[in-house]
Amino acid sequence: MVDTVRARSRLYKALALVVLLVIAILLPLVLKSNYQLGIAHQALIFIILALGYDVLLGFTGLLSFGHIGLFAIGAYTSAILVMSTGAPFLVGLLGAAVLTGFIGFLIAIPALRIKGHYLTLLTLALGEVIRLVIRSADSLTHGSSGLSGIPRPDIFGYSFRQATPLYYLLLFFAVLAILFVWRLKISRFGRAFMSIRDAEIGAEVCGVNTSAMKMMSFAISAVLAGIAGSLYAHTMRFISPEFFGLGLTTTLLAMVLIGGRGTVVGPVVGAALLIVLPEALRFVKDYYLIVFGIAIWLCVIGMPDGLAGLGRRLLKRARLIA
Amino acid sequence: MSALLEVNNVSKVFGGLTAVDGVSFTLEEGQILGLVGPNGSGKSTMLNILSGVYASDGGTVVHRGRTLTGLPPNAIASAGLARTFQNLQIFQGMSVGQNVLVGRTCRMRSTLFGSILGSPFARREERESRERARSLLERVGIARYMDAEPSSLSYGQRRLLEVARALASEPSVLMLDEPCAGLSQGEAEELAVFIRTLKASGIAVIVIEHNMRFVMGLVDRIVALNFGRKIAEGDPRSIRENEDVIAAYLGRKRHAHH
Repeated sequence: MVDTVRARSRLYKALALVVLLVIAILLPLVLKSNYQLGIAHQALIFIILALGYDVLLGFTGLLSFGHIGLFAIGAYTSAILVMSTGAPFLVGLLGAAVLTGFIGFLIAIPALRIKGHYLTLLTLALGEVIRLVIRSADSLTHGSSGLSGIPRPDIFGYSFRQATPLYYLLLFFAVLAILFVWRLKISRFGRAFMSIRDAEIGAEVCGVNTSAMKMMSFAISAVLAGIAGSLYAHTMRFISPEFFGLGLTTTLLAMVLIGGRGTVVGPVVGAALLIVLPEALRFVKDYYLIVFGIAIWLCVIGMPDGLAGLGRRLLKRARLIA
Repeated sequence: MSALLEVNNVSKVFGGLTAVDGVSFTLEEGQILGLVGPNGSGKSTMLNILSGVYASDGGTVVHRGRTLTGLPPNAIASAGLARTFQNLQIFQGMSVGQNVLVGRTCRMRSTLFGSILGSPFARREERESRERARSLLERVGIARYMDAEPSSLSYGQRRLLEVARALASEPSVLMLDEPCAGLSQGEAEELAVFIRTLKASGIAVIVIEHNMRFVMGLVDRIVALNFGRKIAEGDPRSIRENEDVIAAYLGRKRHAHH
């Protein structure tokens, strides 16, 4: 009986995913203007970024405030590689992923000794250092005036300059990221990450090499940040150090918390919501941040497991009634 | 023939307090050893040293001829020493089945990419681990909660979950820290029967327990600690009649001072 319940809930999940995917594929038919497609582009990029952040925060339980720094490194690496060496987009993307992965690995080394709030403070400092280094490295990054004129992706001669093809390219990467994180979560590695989050001593005694697993978690989330950064640079075509500040770190944190940390669907919903919502709330203008702040506050109090947790609770209740 | 586990002259100092003071004992294959003593006598500290949670300040722990001293807990788990905790270390955010699967970590070999891409090896390993987790949960009688959250288990069932999780690593030594706490008399008796089946399958067990009826009826040998020192060792009957043990528990020495 338990097996049929599990099979059925798995079926519902698969159905919901297929429906979502179909909607995502059909979306450009509805979104007419380049402005609307531009918002969809950003949503897809932030889905990748938020998924990576969730691997660290939601799965492994490590709160980093330096993740946007990795996102920035990915964006600049890819843009500089493509613009100054004329390398193809895919090389820029790969370079961004490899470099951020390596830096994520380096960040993990002090993170093995430092725990809790101190780790968060350390990563906060690292993120700011990355931003300041980017601003000071004038010859490479054009400093605070930013890099402009970054070319849109071009893969084996096929150009993604137009908004609609670019949308599908970003959707492809977002779906890959979702599949990756989902497979990760149900693997022995995902379980090891979550065991560290829930009871670190228990995890160690169960045979989890907590140091290696934390490093892997940092590296995986960094690679996803690097890929998202590269896609961001080639989509927006302009990047500047100011964009990658603490404000964006807060937004990223809110995406994962509001969506539901430790889940796969949570960061996806959270990222889409927090990209689309500000645009929809344009009419409240300056009051947006107040609304935003209150929304986060209510979310943390009212639904500690985010929208994903709320959905799960409602499903359970519906099942109890039925 | 050398013993399965040899504990030689192990010490642990916290600040100025010597929690474990030069304790030695041995454990044979398939033997059940009771570690007893009043509160603060160093039993839990001993278990933390054996499982690698604490580094000892002196002495050695040798398992099947291999020195475990100084190894991290995950390496000790791989070597075949598993344990449960007095203050449970359950993974609350994971299902009961996943909790047991974490216990198999040190026996799983699939790579990250094999797991993500679903290589035949990774899939087979995952399926076999799941089957093993289910059969372990069946053996401790909580298999029907496999997909449930641990919060839906009673306190006693959570202890059994930790036992199943510890067994998932296929240990040669299982260490139980107060397994009867929170269990009813009936459940404790069931647990004793279960531990005997482990013994029959060749697993050696070290058990810390205050429930004396449970200990006396279960174990082959007892090591009694007081103030971090070994004060007695022997079969249950000789321990029950040992003057020093009775004094440690009942505080007769204090009366003698009057």
